[in-house]
Amino acid sequence: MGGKDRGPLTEPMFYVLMSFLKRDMCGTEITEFVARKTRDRVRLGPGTLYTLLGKFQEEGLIQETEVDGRKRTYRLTGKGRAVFQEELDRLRACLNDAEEEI
Amino acid sequence: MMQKGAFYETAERLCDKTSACQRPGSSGHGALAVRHGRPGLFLERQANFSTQSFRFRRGTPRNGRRYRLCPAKYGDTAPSEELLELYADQGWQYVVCAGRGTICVHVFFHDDPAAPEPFTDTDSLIYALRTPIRRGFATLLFSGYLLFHAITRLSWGLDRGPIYRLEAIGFYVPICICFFLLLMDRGVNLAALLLFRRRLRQEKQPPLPYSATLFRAQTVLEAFIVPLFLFILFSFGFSTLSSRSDLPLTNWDPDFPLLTLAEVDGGDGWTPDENQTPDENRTAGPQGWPDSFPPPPPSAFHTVTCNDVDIDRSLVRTRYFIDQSGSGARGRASMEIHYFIDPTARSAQSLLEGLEQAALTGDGYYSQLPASLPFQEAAVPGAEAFRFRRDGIHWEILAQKDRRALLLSYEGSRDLSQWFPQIVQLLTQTSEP
Repeated sequence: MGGKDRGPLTEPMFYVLMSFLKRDMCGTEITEFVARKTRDRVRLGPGTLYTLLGKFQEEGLIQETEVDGRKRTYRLTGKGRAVFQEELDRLRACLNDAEEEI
Repeated sequence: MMQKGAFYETAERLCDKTSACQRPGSSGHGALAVRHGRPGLFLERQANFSTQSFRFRRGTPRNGRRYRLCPAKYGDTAPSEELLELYADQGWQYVVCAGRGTICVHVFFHDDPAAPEPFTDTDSLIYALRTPIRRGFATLLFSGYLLFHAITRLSWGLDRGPIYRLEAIGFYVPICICFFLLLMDRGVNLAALLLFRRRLRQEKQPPLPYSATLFRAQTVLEAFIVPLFLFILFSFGFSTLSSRSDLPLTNWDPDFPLLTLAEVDGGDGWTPDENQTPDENRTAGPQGWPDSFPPPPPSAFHTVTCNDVDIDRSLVRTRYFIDQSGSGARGRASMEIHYFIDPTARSAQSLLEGLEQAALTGDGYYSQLPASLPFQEAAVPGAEAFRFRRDGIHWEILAQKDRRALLLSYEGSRDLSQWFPQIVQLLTQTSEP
């Protein structure tokens, strides 16, 4: 699952990291962002989102910036941005490979 | 209303069944789930003293109700505020944190069948299972250590000789069985988790039940573990609360006519030994401290109590160690009595034979006399068995009557054969204990 010996990010992981590119986000905003961006193709259940946020925090890809009652807001770290960029490059390469063959 | 049954049982039994993730995008995204099998029963909380039983309340049936499990993070016994917020955002309501062992899970429910599942991809659920699986390995190892330790203690108790054998069996055998069952329980628990994860990785189509067979095995194991554990606790509590050390004989009221050293060796000028406290006599320090060593620290010194009794009670045997010493016109004398009240006359006979064997094999704990000195039988009215041996001023007497047995060691100038009838009287219960 894109662990420390990182393989490809899963689709939910990719979109959760993407949601932080422009601004800090809390859980509800992430869910809405992913649903909107993928036109409901990818839906994030609360268990999945909570697990991913915990994992990203543990790996230093995101950091908590604000706690407002129950709501927690996170920000993408430099490492998180690099991981997202790496995955983006990989996907672009895959796409290019496929388009060359078509 | 309490129902046996649980999260991983069949739906027919009550409300529980775990199904795994479906592939994202398929209908009804899967999750670690609990199904409500009987309408009108609503999960309320976990039952006391059980990880497998839950309490339900009756209510108006809700056909769309789904229960889902969210594996807790390490050390969580309650969901975090963030977790509650994320679930609440999508309409999931928290019920209870279930499980007190390896698998600690938060239970949520939703009444809308169209609401998304908590876990919408297999990978995140597998990742969430990391904590329970790690804890599973840890508790399995710990259970193994407990069992190993209990077996070691049992073996040690059995090797300590006849006095401790019955107590070792009575106390440590239930503990060994309990820890063995616990080890099995933890093993089944972990196996079920690993199996569940393996099947998740294979991404089989739901329903992907958490192994009902393994769950049933766990339920059966727990049915034995809990009462056994309570029995052990009771046994330990009884033993701890009813045992005493260094109780002065003057404060003790035994249920048999105690033969005192003052009676045997007394007379004019008989003076029982007095307790030695560290302040009064530094020689009351740790026994066996070599002279060549630096002096022991003050904390190592302790009060040596004279003319006292140690009382050890367990559910299988009561044991007194009565220690008397003093001096009088005939010089110094001492008498030690190991006194036993066994559960049966047969076990008391067996104990007496064990004590004799131990003495004849030169075990210094039981005897100071030469191993080669045989015991002689004596016919003393009232005793079912009476044996003695003598080497100068040293006497050893073994006697048994019904459930009571004793080993008496005497060192003094008296001819103890004159006191055999009184020694047998020691084995007669004269009052309620």
